[in-house]
Amino acid sequence: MSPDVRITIELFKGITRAVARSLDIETVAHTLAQYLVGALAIKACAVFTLEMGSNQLLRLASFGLSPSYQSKGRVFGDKSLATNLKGEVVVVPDIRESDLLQYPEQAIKEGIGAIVSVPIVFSGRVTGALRLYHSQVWNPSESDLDSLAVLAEVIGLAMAYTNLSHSCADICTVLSSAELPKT
Amino acid sequence: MNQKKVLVPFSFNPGEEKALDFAIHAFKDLEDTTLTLFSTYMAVPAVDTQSNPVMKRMTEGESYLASELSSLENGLQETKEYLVSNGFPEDRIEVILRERHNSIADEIIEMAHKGHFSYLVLTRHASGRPPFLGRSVHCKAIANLKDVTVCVSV
Repeated sequence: MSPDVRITIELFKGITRAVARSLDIETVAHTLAQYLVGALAIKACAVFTLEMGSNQLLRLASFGLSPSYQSKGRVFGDKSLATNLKGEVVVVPDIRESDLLQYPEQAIKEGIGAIVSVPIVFSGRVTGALRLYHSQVWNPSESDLDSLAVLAEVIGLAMAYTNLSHSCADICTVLSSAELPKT
Repeated sequence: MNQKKVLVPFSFNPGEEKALDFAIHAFKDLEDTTLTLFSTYMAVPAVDTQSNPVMKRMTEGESYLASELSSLENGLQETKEYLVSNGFPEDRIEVILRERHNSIADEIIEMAHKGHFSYLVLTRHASGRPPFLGRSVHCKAIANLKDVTVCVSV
């Protein structure tokens, strides 16, 4: 039997609308994480950003993960569900049967049964990951994975907008403090 | 006696224990100094269930939030115990957990300013925000706070 489709078009519209109304990137990420946890009845959700150079995944927002799991140690994109870095979705239906995790023991202790990690891609570049955690063995449907990939793209767009917005603000600051020659 | 106040924001990110260790090392023996552990949470976003009936499921999100809050409170308590077990006097530690309405950086700056803190102790990745998403918390704090010593552990 094929897995259920949990992300319906109504749910998708509701999440996208709520995310679009958020004021900053952190609120966007928190809103998405909270909505997905509630709507999909999963254990937790986290949004990570990828720090270039170090390949470290920085937790921008999360919902449902315990403080001790969050502070378990630095998470690196090339050690944790690494094929995300190639832009591929990683599904670990049962973490007890996987060697893809960087902190498998801590994940089991946290009560995580399954993880789905969707790369956040903008303009062909991986800029982060959207991760969903289920307390049981979980194999989401292809349709849900596709919907999650689109939601990750929405986050990617929000990140790009934030990047552009901050760059413009910085340029304004520099120009307003500079003594430009009179023409 | 001129009381000195130290603000230590905490988000349970890896590496933040460096800020705790610094605060312990620098302030535990200064009897006129109090330390405030500061953390924030976001409320479940308002849901328009009338125009989108499927989102009614999200009204259950309040119970998720209660669980999340309880988890955060426990985490902060454990963090306080870490400070105490490393020699920081318990009666000089305060814990504040409050709802977040702005960015993490803005919340920290507001707390430091309104709470009349003398020191702000941060780590480099205090918000999980990489450089490409704008100024880091410590850069913003340094630019916006006056009469507050900002310490950044790396």
